[in-house]
Amino acid sequence: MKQKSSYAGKILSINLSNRDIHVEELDPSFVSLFLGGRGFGSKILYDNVTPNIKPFDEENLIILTPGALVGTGVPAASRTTITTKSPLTEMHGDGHASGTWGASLKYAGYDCLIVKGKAEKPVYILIDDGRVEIRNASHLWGKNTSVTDKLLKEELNDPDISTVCIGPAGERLVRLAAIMHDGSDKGVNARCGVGAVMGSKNLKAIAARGTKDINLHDQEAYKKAYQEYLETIAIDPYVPPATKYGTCRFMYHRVKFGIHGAKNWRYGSFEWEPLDPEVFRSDYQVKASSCPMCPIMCRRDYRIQSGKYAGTVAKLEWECIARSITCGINNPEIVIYFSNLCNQLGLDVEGTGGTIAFAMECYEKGLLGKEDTDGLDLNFGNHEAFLTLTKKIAAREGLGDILAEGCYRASKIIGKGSEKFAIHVKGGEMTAGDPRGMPVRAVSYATSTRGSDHLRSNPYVEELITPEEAEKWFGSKEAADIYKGVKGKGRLLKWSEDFVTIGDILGLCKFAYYRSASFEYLKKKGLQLATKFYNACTGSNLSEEEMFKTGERIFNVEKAYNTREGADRKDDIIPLRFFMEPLIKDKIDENAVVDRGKFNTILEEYYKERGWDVNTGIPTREILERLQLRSIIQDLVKRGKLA
Amino acid sequence: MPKKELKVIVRLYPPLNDIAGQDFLSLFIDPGATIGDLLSNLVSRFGEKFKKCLYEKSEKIMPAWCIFINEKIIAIKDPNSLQEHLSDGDKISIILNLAGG
Amino acid sequence: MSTKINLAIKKRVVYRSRPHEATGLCTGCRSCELACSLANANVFNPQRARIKIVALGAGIDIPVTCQQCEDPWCQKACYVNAIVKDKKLDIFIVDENKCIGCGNCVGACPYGIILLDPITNKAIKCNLCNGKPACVAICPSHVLEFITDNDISKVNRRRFAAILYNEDNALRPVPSGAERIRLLPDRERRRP
Repeated sequence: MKQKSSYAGKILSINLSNRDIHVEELDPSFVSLFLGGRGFGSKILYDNVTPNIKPFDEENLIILTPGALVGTGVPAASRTTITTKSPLTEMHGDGHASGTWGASLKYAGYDCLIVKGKAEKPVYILIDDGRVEIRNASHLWGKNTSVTDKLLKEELNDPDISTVCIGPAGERLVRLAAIMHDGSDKGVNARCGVGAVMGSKNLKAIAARGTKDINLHDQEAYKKAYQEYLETIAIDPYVPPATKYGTCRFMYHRVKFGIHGAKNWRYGSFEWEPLDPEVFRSDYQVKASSCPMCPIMCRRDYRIQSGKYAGTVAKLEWECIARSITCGINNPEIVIYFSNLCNQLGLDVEGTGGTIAFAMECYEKGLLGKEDTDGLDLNFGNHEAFLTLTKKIAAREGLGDILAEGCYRASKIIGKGSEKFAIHVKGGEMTAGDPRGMPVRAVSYATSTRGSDHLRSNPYVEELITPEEAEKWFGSKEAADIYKGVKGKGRLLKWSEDFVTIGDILGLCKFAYYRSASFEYLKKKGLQLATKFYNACTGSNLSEEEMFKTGERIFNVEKAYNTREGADRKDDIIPLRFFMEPLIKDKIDENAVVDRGKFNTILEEYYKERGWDVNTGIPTREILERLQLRSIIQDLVKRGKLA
Repeated sequence: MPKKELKVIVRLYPPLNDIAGQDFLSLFIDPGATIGDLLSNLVSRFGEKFKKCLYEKSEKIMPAWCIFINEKIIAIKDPNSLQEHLSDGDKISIILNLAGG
Repeated sequence: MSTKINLAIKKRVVYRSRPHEATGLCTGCRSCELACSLANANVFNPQRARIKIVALGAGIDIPVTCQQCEDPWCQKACYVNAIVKDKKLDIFIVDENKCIGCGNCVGACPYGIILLDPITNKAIKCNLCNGKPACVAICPSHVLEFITDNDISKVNRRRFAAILYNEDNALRPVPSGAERIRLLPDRERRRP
């Protein structure tokens, strides 16, 4: 009798060029090494999208993989990864989003969807249990994401069917385009320009529903782990602010530590008071929402009641506020409306905000004049310009056509020294808070495998460990010092990266498992309980070490992919601004720049801990062997990347 | 002659403010009082739940907490840091080190 | 001397029976749907859940639960008398051995909460999980409650008052005569 497992057991492949639809069984050895979610996506990308394939070529794949635990009742197991070769970085790219789509794919009977080729005319894919169809989407092309979702649900006569779609931005191959779940106010696979790849295939949307069971191997173990999880979050001080304010809560931290990244990453202080989390909560909040299966409830919709944008209801997450600050905006209604615009048009708020801020600095420094900005007064803080330019980017109109390429390419087009303030890593716009003053944070933005990204690593572990724990786990008490510590930080970074990757493999939300107020709770949720849930659902018998090793394995697959594309140590760097220009706060202190020496020391310790070549930053044969990635060794040797 | 008491203002951030029921409080403390004394004062004022939130089960304050005195951060992981003396008019903030993104 | 009859035997699962208290709203997490399918079928499958969350748009999610009618429309619609009384819980449940999967009950229910199980092809409705509803136990925002007849009466009264208020304020189109009867909770319908 086949063992009960929460895997659906099949991979669905669709070729839009020749309309070939192919179903294959999930290979158990593949599953045991890569588990699911980001694990599947990264390996399939490596095996199929080689350096000769460009992001907008037909041969590029879009790989949609719900995390291994998606479709089960595991708390906060709701995230789906979409992997592709990124039009922004021309290397590994992925985005993660929570929503019902991933679970619907599994209920339809598939653990993974691979889309290849290019349709002649706009199409959408329907997955309805065993029935898979490629359907005409000409009537949807050009429509906003919420309208697309609504029309699909009407056409398919099912208000509960799950959809993912692109907006006008993805259709026009805007490199900042995102893929939206269930309209405009649920999950977003935002980063790396994944929406543009979907647009390049003339694929407007994918609708999925299913009636099949997802089985559970051990109900007792599952219930026990569930109870343990609830008990842990009941006492973790991290959780109540999340439930009370949603992601707006991060404002207080940014203010106190002066790391806004305001005005294109130059100012650490900013007139933030109008954007106080209390303002969002009392004046605009509709109610607290949850992602599927989540008890933390940190999703928020906000409604503008009066004024120019009255009636707008938009999902808003923290980074939208942060990137608005990067553009000098501090009006909450403008921020809500900006989120709405990006969601409707299918744009990544991080990339869009970062790129507009870049354009604003160009204007400030006279590199762009009014004749270049189509008459817009592109000053920091100018609401009209901010919103108008967002629309222009989605429409590829005027200056928007240049900015739609992302700030890195835009700076190459504009020239005149603007490259200096295109704030990106490997082509991906910078996210989260300013790295100056926090040495390991700076390195973490540089080492992420998908362009600048704080979520790849969450090196915030340093914030919650005691010096004793730091010594035990990372070899030095210094690793617990956020500002001055250097020794042990490299090891801390590797640990954090592998740890967080587990969440992306299993489809678990980082806020629910990978953030905490204490190291004990953090490990308990993110490693111990995650492993227990995985074993209970799938019938596997993975140890915590093996689970951790899986995270390490997948990170190395992505690193090998980027290496194959030509990346090495020179690409593991953050913009010069952070090394040279002191962060401007109310007062300037010695932590106002990233110290080059500290950066290099941490980076080298990190490479060493990873088992990579310290000079080139490239994975070695030994580590790839240890992680059972033989096929990757052979491939890299063949291409001259490995001895 | 009795020494003049010091007045300090404490700002509590979530979830401490929800447990305490207030965001701000002014306190009068003895001259020579340290940060450690202030914390003991707050714990005795707001009870077990407040204490658990700050200390969990240990005697040391959880490292995720940040204490600022007038915008200067206290090295909470250094046990001697709690011996820092307070002055009249000091503004103290207690915030969870919730880096986000 | 009169004997007080104990009204506390029958209980129902309802959403927010005390809205005037500071309880939360349904967040749309749908943990209840999977807890239900797990309790009844030992699998994760929202299509086999007997509690359904309806997304009304603009971030509004409302759980719809079986109202455990005294004189159910589903039972009247059943051709083969497969909807029978569970005497212990004083509710009606589906006898799977008799059910032929015709779906007549599905169309008859005014709340849309008796369904056909896509795997077994039998009618499924809430059976209150033997007196310990799984949905109530799992709801993270505690907005589902398992309450007695007395409390149910207050809920119904409040709901009807809201209908009267809305009609009075013409905030919604007024339902036609027959439709209005269908919208009322079961007990109201029995009045002449």
